[in-house]
Amino acid sequence: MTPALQLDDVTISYGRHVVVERASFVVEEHDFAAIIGPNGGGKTTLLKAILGLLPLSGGAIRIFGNPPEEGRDLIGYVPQFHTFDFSFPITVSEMILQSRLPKNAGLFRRYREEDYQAMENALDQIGLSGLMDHPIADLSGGQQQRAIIARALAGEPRLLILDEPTVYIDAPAEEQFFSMIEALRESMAVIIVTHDISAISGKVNRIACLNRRLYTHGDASITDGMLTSVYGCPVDLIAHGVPHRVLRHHGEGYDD
Amino acid sequence: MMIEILEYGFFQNAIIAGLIAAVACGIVGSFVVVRRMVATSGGISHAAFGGVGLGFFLGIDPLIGAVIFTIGAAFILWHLNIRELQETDTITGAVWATGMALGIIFVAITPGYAPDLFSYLFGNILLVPSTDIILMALLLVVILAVVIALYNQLVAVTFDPEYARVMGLPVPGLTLVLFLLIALTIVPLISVVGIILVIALLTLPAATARLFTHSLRTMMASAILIGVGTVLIGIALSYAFDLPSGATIILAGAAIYGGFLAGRHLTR
Repeated sequence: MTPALQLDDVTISYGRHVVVERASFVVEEHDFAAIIGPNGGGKTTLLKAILGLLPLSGGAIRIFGNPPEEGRDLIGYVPQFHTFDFSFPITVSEMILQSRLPKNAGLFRRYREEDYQAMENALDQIGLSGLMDHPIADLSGGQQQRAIIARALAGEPRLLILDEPTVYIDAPAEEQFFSMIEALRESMAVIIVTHDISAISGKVNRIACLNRRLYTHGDASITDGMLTSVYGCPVDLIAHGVPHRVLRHHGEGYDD
Repeated sequence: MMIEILEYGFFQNAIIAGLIAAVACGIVGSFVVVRRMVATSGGISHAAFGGVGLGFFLGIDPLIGAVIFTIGAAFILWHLNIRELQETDTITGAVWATGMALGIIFVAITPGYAPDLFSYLFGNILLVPSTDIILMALLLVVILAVVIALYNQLVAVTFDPEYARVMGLPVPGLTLVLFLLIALTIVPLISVVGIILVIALLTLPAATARLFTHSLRTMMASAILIGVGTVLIGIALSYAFDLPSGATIILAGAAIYGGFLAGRHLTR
């Protein structure tokens, strides 16, 4: 089976500054993967390359076997929450329908019945059906975040990529968020990109740590050794760790 | 008194010019306000003065010169925008001032009497000739056709350019379309309120509409109505009190905006 995402020795640099060095990683269909790493570790850069917005200096990226420019039609992208202008005068349904645009490019094209259907399905999946005609400005923070996920789902993706999705989610909403992701895995692979290792659910089945180099660990547990090499100083992060996370074996004295 | 004046040809021209400007402003001004392209619009509109000067120098309609210059400025600023250069802000200011400077030089080297620049800088809606009305109407038709043809794409690019790129939309091309729409909209406005005041008429009705609308469509429709009201009130007051028309229209627009803003604060 073709993997949903395959990174093969990917190197990305700005001028002479290497940001991502020889990263290799595979995400299969129906996987729930996490790419974690400190801010400035190259996560955003790698994400942009996967989305086909940045050229590679070496290696290859394949999305269901295709290069990013072609494969990204199959990606549902959920950008960081804070990049949004939620005061923009647009309703939830109008925003979500935008994901149908690639299928409706050209002059004088209007959305068709199947586009409205995809929009309503996406809202159903994340439980916002009643808010279709509301302006996005009127939604709560959590609802706005789900609306952005619905926008990605309306494109009927087979790979969903979420950039720092848990930043604005509080603890009770987090359970809900991860069970939603579980449900989505039936029809797609999901990748979470985050700097916050406490935000990663035990349901993640594949993890990569990125700090210029990419460290992978097949069975989705993070070892102290990995963290030390990625973050340099793991103490802070582990001290913030919450029970039932992926960090099964904390170092001596870090346990709470 | 107001009724009789409507029978004069120049007054009819003034009303038609005002309505064309209001429609163009309502639509394009809404994009300018939500995408925060006010500085870009300022650069493009002031560069138009170079075209006005060129028009005098070559002995052609100054508004045609203005079209050439606003389109040229739109291309330059678009180029900066898509390359995301740090200097965008500085160069926008340079385009702004260079256009004005070129206009002054062109006028200075034009032989004969110095033309009346005042009406181009501050507008004189009562002096709009019929030929300009035809040019303005043509520009409005082009603006309407482009916005209707590309409406969904233009909204997507305005709302979230990065996501539009990920979706594979031609974001640089659509951004150019937005900038050219601004360039074309500014030309009719020059006759109505003048180069210096264009920004205000472009943005005030749209900014007012934004206070109470929640979708771009209703924002545009409301901005058009507010723009029509602004222009008509401005013309009436300017006639009644013998005040300069362009400045009176802008003050009417600012007063309407202030009124809605105050109303919103009071009702919250």
